[in-house]
Amino acid sequence: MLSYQTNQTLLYRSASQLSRGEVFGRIGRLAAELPDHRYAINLATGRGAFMAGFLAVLQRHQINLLPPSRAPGLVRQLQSQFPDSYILADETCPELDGWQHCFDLDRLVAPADAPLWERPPQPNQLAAITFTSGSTGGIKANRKYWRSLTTGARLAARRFELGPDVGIIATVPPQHMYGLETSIFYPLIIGCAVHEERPMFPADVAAAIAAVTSPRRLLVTTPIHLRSFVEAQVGWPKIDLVISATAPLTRALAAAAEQRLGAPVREIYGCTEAGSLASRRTTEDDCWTMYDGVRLVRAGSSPIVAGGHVDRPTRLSDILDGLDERRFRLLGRDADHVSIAGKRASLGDLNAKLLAIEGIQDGAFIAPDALDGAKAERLAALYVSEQLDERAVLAGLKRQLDPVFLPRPIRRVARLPRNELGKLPRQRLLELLHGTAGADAAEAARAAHSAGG
Amino acid sequence: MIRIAEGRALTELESEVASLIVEAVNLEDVPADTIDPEAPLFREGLGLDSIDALEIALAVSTTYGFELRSDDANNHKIFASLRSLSAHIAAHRVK
Repeated sequence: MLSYQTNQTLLYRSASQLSRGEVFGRIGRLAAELPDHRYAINLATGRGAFMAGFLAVLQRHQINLLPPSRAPGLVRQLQSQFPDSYILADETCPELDGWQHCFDLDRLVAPADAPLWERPPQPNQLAAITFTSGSTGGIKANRKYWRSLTTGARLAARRFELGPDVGIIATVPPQHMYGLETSIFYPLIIGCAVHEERPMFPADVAAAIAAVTSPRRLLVTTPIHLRSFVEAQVGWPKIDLVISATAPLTRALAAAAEQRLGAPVREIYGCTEAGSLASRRTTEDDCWTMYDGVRLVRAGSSPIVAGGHVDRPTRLSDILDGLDERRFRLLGRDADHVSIAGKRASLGDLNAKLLAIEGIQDGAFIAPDALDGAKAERLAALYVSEQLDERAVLAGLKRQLDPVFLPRPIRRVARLPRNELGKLPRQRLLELLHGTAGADAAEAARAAHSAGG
Repeated sequence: MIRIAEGRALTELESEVASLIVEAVNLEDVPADTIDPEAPLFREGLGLDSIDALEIALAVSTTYGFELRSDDANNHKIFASLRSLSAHIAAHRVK
């Protein structure tokens, strides 16, 4: 476990590197500084600080809480659900309330004789809790045990033939399950090195790749980023492997990315609850192959997976066409779940939040259509209100939602096209949204609008 | 969520960049000339996020011929507002 050479590079920065010994030697010092609480809301953005913080928290037998963003409303929700918690960060977060323990990895001085890894986590130790939004409002906690996270990294190493000769550049944050697995646990368990930053624009990503001098380079990214890499006028340094996840990639974009970046593109299928589960080489295969040991116990809608690093049988929110226990096709998401920019939400929860805004009589979010994750599609929303204009409703939503879920566009209408069961046929919603509904609805909407102000 | 630019006129480049942003991120409900040039583009301002930043960067590179960088120490300043982004474009554009 965690076997490594102390002088081997762990962290690449724009102009320097830190060895494994330099990072791990500081964990004990950081652990000693941490306040005495049960949960640490780990908001560190630098991968070195996140990693040291994550392990120091475990050394103190505390638990990392990993919110999908640092939106103040979301952090506040976590703080009320986990009152015995503090914020752990590598820079102060003035917009957040509550106790913050901020540290600078470079200023932690490790005693010369510091043991590198004093107390390794126990396999059954609860290492982290990640969050997805639940279908009935509120947030759903997903418990991540040390054994599951480390086993997942080993299965990925086998699948993608990764080793200590690989340097990783990731455009996803460490608090996201995909980023946690690839940019934190691949380095911890497989011995890869990783770039400290989370580069965003194509030119940044190219510069970060160039700074990684490992024999092989792995770019961990998403379909939306891949599209920007293909279109940007940037010279790409040598890349050995690209991994994409968070939304399905089209074969055309995968092919364009392979050509532009000069490396094979492999895709991971997974979810926050179970982590990475399967992969495919998108240019060659429509089907996904499970990681070793992971089985599709039940296919169809609400499919169930088990085995491998999956602690217990887990239900997924996609619709899968099972070819056998290990291979499947992804047919779509179940109706309640939407995924925007790699973040997942429940339509039921979003609707509940919209309806909870004072002055809203009725309302509904509408999910984008495609299975094409590269298009940065957004949610839309329709609502009925006498007092509130679009701006007021957006302001109300902004206080509660991650910005990726803010509806664009949002439209006020006279009434929603509910059928006799009170349900909202998607086609009618789309017609109303795009103004192609009958003249009645349009007229009614106009009337409501002028009545409302 | 949009602060109306009361009496704050946009320069020619600023209104060009405003249109580019509105188009790049599908803010179809926001007339470009109502964007307050001094208001933050992200979060509390236009409510844009990092995916929007990618779209804007692509549009900027296509239109003005240079690539935005976020590890620039001035990054926060560049994306602080329409005005600062426009100034950055004016200084770096090659077309």
